[in-house]
Order: sequence, then structure tokens, then C-alpha cells
Amino acid sequence: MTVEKDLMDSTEKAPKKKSEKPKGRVIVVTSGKGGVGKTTTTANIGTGLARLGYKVVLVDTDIGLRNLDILMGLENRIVYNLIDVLEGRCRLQQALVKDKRLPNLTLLPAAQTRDKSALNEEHMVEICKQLREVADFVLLDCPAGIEQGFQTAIAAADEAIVVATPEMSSVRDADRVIGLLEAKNTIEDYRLVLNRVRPALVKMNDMMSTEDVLEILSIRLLGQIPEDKDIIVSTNRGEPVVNIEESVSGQAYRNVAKRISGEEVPFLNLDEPDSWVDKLKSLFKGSRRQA
Amino acid sequence: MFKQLLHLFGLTTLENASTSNTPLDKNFDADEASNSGRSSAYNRLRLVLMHDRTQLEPHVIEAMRDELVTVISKYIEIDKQDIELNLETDPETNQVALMASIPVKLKRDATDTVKKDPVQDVEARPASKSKASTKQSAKPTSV
Repeated sequence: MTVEKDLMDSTEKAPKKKSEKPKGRVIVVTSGKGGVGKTTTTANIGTGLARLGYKVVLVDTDIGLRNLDILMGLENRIVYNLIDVLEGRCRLQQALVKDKRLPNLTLLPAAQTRDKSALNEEHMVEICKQLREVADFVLLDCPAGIEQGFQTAIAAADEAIVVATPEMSSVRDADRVIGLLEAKNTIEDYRLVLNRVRPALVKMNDMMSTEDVLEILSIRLLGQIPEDKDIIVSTNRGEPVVNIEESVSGQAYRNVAKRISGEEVPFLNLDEPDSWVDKLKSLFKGSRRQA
Repeated sequence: MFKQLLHLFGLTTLENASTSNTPLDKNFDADEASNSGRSSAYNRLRLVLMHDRTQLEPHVIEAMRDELVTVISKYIEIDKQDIELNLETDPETNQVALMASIPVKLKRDATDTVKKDPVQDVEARPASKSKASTKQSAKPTSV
């Protein structure tokens, strides 16, 4: 009840500073297909932006299937969640969980015991309105699918990050999502993060390249993240890979964060030098051909 | 990842003993760009997305086909069985086009088309079915 009231209050205040542009940017991370790395991307880009000194709030909008807390290693610190805020059991500030390392990074967790119907588009818009007042970036981790949970998550966003892997089903779903984002005129911009890129397979013509996917989707690239065991290891530790200095995928995410902040960073060259295995293979290929 | 590594090593040992050529041949052929995993994924995906994006259900295409047949056969005799209706991309412009291949059997008798054709309008013959003039060889037309 109190929050409903809070929310009402903020709406009433809004006209007074009508001319001011809202402070923070609200960016939704979405993919259509599940399991392609939305939550990992949200955690890493958010942490990456916070490392650059921005004030960042991560919002898990996947009500009933929350995971962002685990990737951030914050699962033990949750007291209240997004739905508690909406239903007035706490204030917004109380529900924000501070990151372990970065004081300017907070998480607004999803409720685990409820379902997606507990959150609607108006709620989302109101919550984001409040969050963008206090944060430079509000990152929304979108649920998989293109149903109501997706519609709710994108309702409040200014921009979108589409996550896909270079696989047919993922790219097809991303295409669908892009169509829906284009239809939403509140979303000003969207770019692609291509996840789990495997340069060795591309080189062998076994997998679509980043260029292939960009061409098919006619979308701009925000970043390509190589398939990397560091991501699995860091997820298990509850530490986003972006914090691991020597990791390639971490570097890729740090670059993405910089690009979002407006800096121009060249794309990582993921091509590894030929391994001895490759050399051997090509050697044998050559001899076969001659034979 | 580990599996992948094992797999690679497995391959390597096999290749070292290169005279045994059974399961590996596949890997050598896969190098041919035309039927590589990469290009088949790319091409299949393009086709799938073309249909997704037009949002044409198969039954809609069927209906469109039937209507086209009705309209066109008013003016010209066509081979109704061999009509092909496909979405295709121009590889150069990337423009998607609806291609209809409609084999023409022969023109209808002039008397049938008389009302539609202003040139022949003058000579509207009352006597029907004079099959003299207008036979044409079958010729597929693109629309």
C-alpha cells in the first residue's frame, strides 16, 4: 500500500520537472530463446558499467525463476524483492541488494515464490521511473519467451540488448524479438550481443560467423563473447567473469560496457593462432587432396 | 569443453595413424564450403526467416494461389497443376520477392476476352467459339 502511494506520489511530482530529461538509461536484456546467456550478459554488463564508475541497478524481471542473484553471488543477502516493493511490504531502497565489491552496483531481485502475473507493465514503468532517478543505468533481465513477461520487461525500456548465440534456433528467435522491439516505439535503440562464439568452429566452416548472423538479422553489433570456461567457473563462484582481468570473455564484456557508455572500442579479434592440432589437420587435408 | 578437448585429441591420434580412413572422411569433406555446417545453417535460416517475416501461413499462400489461378485463368489458360509460388531473395539486392511461376497453356478464344480488350472491342463477334487464332506454346511467365 505504501509503495503504491510512493508510486502515486512520484507520478504527481513528475510534471514539476517535466523539462528535465530522466537521468538514467533503462536497458532491457532480451533474447526470445532461453539459455543463450541473458542473465549472464545482464550480470556482466551491469558489473562492467559499475566498474567504470556508473551507478547501476540490475532488475531481475523473471518472476518465479530468479537467477540473477545467483550469478551475482548475492543469493544469501536477499531480504525483500520486486513484488514486495509493489505490494507495499517494503520501500524500494530496502529491496535493493548491494554488490559484494562495488558499492555503486545494486540488485533488485525477482520474487521466487510468485508468477509473472504479479508484475504488469504499469508496475514496471513506475519502478523504472524511480530507479532512473537514482541510477545511471537500469538493466532489466528479461524472461525467456515473447509472452506477457517479455512485454512487461520491455515496457519500461529505452534501449534493448538482444542476446543470441550463433545457432539457428537462437537467431530465429532473436529475429522475432527484434520485430517486436521495432514495433515498440518507446525503444529507441537495440544492438546484438553474440554469445558463445567459437572461432575455431567458424574457421572450420562448422558454425555461422558473427558476420553471418549480423547479416541475417540486419542488426548492429554491441559485442561478441567467446565461449569460455571462465564463465562457468566464475558463475559457480558467484563472481561475474567481467571481474576476472585475464579472462577473454571478461575482456569482451568490459568492452561491451565501454561501448554502452559511449566509448568506441574495436571488436576483439577472437581468432586464435593455429593450434598444432589445426596445423596437423590442414597438413593431412592437403595430402589427401593431392592423393 | 573437456569433451571437446578429448574429441580433438581423439581425432588427432586417429589422424596420426592416417591410413585408417573410415570415420574421418566426413571431416575432410565438411571442408567443402557449399555443404558445410556453416553455410547450410546460414541458408536454412535465411529461408526460415523469410517465411517468418512475411507472416504468411501455408494456408494463406494456398488461398492466394487459388485466387491467382482464378483471376489469371479469366484471361489466359494456364496449367493449374504446375503453378509455383515461392519467396525468393535476390542475392545481390537482398530484396525478398514473391515469385510465381505460371505455365501458360494457350490463350483463350478471342471471344472470351473480348470485353476486356479494348482493341478487339470494336469487332465483338456474336458467334462464339471460333478457335482459329490464338494458340500459343506453353511458356512459363514470372509475375
